[in-house]
Amino acid sequence: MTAPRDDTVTTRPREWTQEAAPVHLPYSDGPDGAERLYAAWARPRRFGLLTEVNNTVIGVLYIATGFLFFFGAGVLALLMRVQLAVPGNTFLDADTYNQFFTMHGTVMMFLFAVPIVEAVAVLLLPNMLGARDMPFPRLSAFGYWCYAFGGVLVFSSLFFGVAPDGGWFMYPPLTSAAYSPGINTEFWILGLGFVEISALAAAVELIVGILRTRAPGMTLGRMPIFAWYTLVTAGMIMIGMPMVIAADVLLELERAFGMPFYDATRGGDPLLWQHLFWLFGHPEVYIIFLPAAGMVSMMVPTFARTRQVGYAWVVMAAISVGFLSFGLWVHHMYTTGLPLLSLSFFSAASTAIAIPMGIQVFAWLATLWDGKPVLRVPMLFILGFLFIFVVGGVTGVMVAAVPYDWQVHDSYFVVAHFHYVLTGGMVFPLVAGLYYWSPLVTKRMLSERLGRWAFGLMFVGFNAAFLPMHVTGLLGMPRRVYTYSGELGWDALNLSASVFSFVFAAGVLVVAVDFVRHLRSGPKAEANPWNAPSLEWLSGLAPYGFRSLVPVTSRYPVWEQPEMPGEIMAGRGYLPDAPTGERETLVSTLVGSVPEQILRLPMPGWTAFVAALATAIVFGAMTVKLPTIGVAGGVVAAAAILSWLWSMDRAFPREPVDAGRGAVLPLYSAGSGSVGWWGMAVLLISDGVVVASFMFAYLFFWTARPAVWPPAGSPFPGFIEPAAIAVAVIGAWVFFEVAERRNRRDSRLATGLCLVASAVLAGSALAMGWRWLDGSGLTPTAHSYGAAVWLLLGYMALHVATGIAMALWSLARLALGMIDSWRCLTLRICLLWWRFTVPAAVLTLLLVAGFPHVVA
Amino acid sequence: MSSPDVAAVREEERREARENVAGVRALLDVALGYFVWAAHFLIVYVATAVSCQLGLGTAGAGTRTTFLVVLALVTVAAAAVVVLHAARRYRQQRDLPDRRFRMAVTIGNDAVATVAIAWQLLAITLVPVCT
Amino acid sequence: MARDWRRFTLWTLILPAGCAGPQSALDPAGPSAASIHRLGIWMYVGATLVTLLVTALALVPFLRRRDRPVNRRLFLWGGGVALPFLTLTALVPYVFTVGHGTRAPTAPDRLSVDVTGSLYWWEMSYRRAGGASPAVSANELRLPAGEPVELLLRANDVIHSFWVPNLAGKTDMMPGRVNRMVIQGDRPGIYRGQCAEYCGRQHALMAFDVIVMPRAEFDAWLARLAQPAREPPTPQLREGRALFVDLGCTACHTVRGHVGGRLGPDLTQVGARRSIGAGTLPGGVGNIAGWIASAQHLKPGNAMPSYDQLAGPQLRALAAYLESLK
Repeated sequence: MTAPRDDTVTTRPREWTQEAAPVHLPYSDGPDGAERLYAAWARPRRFGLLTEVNNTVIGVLYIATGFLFFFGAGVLALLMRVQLAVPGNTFLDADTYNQFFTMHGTVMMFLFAVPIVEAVAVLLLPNMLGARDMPFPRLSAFGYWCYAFGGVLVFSSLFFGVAPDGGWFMYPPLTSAAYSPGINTEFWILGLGFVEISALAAAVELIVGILRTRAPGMTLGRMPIFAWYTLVTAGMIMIGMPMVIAADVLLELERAFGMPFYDATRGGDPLLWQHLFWLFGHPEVYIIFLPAAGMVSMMVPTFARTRQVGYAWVVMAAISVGFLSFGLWVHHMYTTGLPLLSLSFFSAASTAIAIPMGIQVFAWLATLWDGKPVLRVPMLFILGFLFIFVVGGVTGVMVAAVPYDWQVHDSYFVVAHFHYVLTGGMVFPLVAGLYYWSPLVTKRMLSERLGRWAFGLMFVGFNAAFLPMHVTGLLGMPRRVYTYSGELGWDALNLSASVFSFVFAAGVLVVAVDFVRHLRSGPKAEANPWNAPSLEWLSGLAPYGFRSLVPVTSRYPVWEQPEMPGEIMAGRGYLPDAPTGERETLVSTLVGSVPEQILRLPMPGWTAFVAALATAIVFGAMTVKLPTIGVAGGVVAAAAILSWLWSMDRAFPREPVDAGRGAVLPLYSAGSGSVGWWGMAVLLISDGVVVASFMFAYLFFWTARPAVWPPAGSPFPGFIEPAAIAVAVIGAWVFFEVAERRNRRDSRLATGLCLVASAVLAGSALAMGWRWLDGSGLTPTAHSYGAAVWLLLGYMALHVATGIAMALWSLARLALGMIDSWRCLTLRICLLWWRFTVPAAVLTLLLVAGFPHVVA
Repeated sequence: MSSPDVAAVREEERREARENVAGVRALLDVALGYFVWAAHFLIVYVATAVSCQLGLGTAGAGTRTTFLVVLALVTVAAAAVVVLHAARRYRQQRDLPDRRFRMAVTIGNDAVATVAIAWQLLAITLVPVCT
Repeated sequence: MARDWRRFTLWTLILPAGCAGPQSALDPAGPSAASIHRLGIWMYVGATLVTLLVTALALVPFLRRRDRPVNRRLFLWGGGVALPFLTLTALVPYVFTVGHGTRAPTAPDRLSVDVTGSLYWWEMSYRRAGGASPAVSANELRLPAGEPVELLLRANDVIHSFWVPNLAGKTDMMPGRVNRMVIQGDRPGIYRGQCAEYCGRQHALMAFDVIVMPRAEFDAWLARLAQPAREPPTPQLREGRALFVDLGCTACHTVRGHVGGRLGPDLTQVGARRSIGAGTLPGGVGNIAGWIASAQHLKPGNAMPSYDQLAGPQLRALAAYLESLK
């Protein structure tokens, strides 16, 4: 075997690249080794299952929860179709209908589509990549429980008649306190803020997992294509989600404290919401579609029984879509009266995305032509997907054309268009994936016959319900109307759409029935029933995945490395059984995937569950305005999260461990090689997007009304105070930097003093900032200018305060001997925070102090 | 901690850091075309939005033409950067299979980015400014 | 003529009968809607061809076994790159040349109308030459045929969107902004517009009529709209007018010649309108009475209270008075 080395990076020669060398098997050739492995990865029983953090449990729970929300939102859709079946119907009143369509969209997008595609990745990716688990299993457990509790909180508002009713897009001013005084909107903002956090958690973990925990030898060019799609998706979530979180924060600040970000009467601008929301909302469509396309790309070669044609082309298409999707957001704002030229830029970008989409579709088609395809149920759903998705794609080109969109925007044409994109692009591949991967989880096969029925009903029902809806829209029917007049020629089209929506639902029901039935009576599945080429089929989805991690030398290891299953079972790979007796996986280099470190993973524990439950209680109590319970929940949540953080940075034993195949790898890394450092780095990118969104808001108010912003008579910020604050913040960072250096020499006293100095300087920066802002006469509620300044500085104050907390945290650990020159990851991660905070704070101060002078 | 141990650890860390930086750079280089595209996109969009707010719509035809010519030049420059990047990568990375794969993806990305940038020229030449 | 004929064939090829309608983008009656519709037809044809091609290519490998390896170049370069690139490079410039008319400048002597969206109704205020005060109407837009008319769109409270599919695409009405669009009806007729941006509880019942009339008729109508309402000729109508004032209707509504508020639709010509309640009910004295008595039942959540305490004769008098305002 040739070593897949990459000479842009310096790689040490590793034992595993010398295939001929005698393989050293330290642990694995007896039943003892296997028992150690099973013991480490044993699942807790009964209630203990709530403590499990392993991806095979969390992933299944995640997917099951996602499907529950899918059914719930689907029932809402059917009820709406009953209401719209005939003109002037009184089955649902206006309020109920508005809550239903809002919740249908919200639940489908935020509680079904995004979580479930992440869930599929959480369940399958580690094994596809030849890893044993995700790099941060507790974080995925925390993310899952946040999503489950937050989702239930949002959904339950329906049963009390206080569900959000401002549309899933929640445009202010309709959703501001003046026009939506009830708690309905709070359910949306707080509940979804919570769910968005869980999506970010999953994204961080997927990115680090894909980049750093791949099987040895699985270079970037050998990754299963699903991993590429997931990497792009997770990157998009990381950039996109913070924007909607920022928009939510502004809306909640306006609703709760009267800071006028969207209120045009006080200098705000409702368009700001639309920019921030669609900056996330358009990529959202691709966030949903790309992982589904990734699943399709895994299934097509299996059923075509040949390699994917144009692997590099498809990877390129996925990357293109990920990037270009961020240049499309105004696509949803063509009718807002922006200059025609600005709209046309977005039109060109929207159209450009058709090229990678075309490449993707034709790569699948070529693969089908290249092989000898077999038509099993998953393939049937993929064919359905191809047809429906292409229709959604070509109507997408239509709505990307500015003048055409002026007609069809917010009409039923668009309803039809995006149901084609999302149902075709995501639900059909998901059902295909359900039929395809279920045998891996349940060890039983779903029914081929029921599957065909389900496909027939879903395909016919879907197309008959939604294809004519394009015409309904062109005949002038707007979206989001609970009733319509019988004289406009929409009756027959609506009635047939309602009837066929039930046919589609019947198809979904058949899938559900088949799934429940197969759990008991489905025929037993073979280990690799479809003869698929990817690694997850060799794992049997055991909690530990593989008994040992054998180097990958091909894109299709199961087909092209026939010796692999035997080697895995014989323990001839890396990490045979469990060398440390704990749960562990390999950390490898980014490009060449050379093993670098053994990562010990957390065992089952209550922290993630308790932290999520308590956080849910905080958000729930905030929503329904019960401060006492909220504070109590907050204390519990903080305690759980702090104890979680306290348990991290495990540095011992210091001795490297024999990882099999002659490689001796460390158990601990304190530098940029550690996954914790990477997690923080990825998280800071998201945080940077939030900061950028707030700065965008500040500048946007000016571009909206350059003549009157900042408003006449508002005090100009001086330069002295911000300069002093900046010096203090920079000083705090420098002392932290010095502390880290001193710690390398184990000078504990100097390190401690530097940390104290850092905290003191940061504290003085906070105090100076408060005096400056409070004394400036700038009120946050009078005008959007004051609100934006308070927002920007407040957010930076939060960062500096976190920096203080980190200094104190490090000090405590230093005092207890938990930080020294060997064990210094904590210190370095905190330093990373400061390295982000300082430029962000300086930039913020420069903007706040300088910009009014520039435009004046 | 004993001193030789520390030196080894430091050396290891530096190596890791180099490797990771190189890895991230390699990964981002694949998508360089899109960073250029995004920068170009932001520039033309923000320039249009801001100058229309500042009264470009009511300015004379000469000012408006100058503005559009500048936008067109920026567009051509951005496209040229992307094309040059693709050409360089084509010359540098033809040898090893894994690098070949990255080269193919890089060039593909650059091509799509070039089209996305070049199509903005159609907007600049065909659509009236500030209406 | 030739172009009309070609349009007609395309029409019959693609679209089933029954596309005509008072609120249909498929039955254009103005230059903007017509050019968008033409663009649409090209795109429908292209979209259908692409869909059929992909569907056929997806099915063939299952129907016909083949032993030759596929021509990958043809698929990836031909289908993946060339097909979208060439069709879209042709389409994009075409798209960029459509629709400028809706933003084009109009001559100063043309009509300008300020249209304001409020929660579930519309106010139309026609600017008049020579500094005369504008003539105000509601929930009905009248246009002179064959002339570009400038609309200045505002919102009073939340975001609404102005959409008359037969004449042009939609433009949003944003609080704090004034959006401008140019609209033109080519031939006299009655069309319908509807709010296209979700604006709350009764978003569904926020429509208006658009009446395109010959220029001379339009001028006469506008002159009439600018006049104060006539003195009611009969005792019943006079009783109705007294009730209108006594019940406090003028707190929200204006009838030209009376003092009145602008919180609700201007009623100077309410009797001449084709619908009431912003498209909730057809016009006519019976429906006016029904609306007064049970506005909250017919359109829950709109700003008009139900005057269900009125006695029968009073209600009839009030309704008759309003019906007489033409």
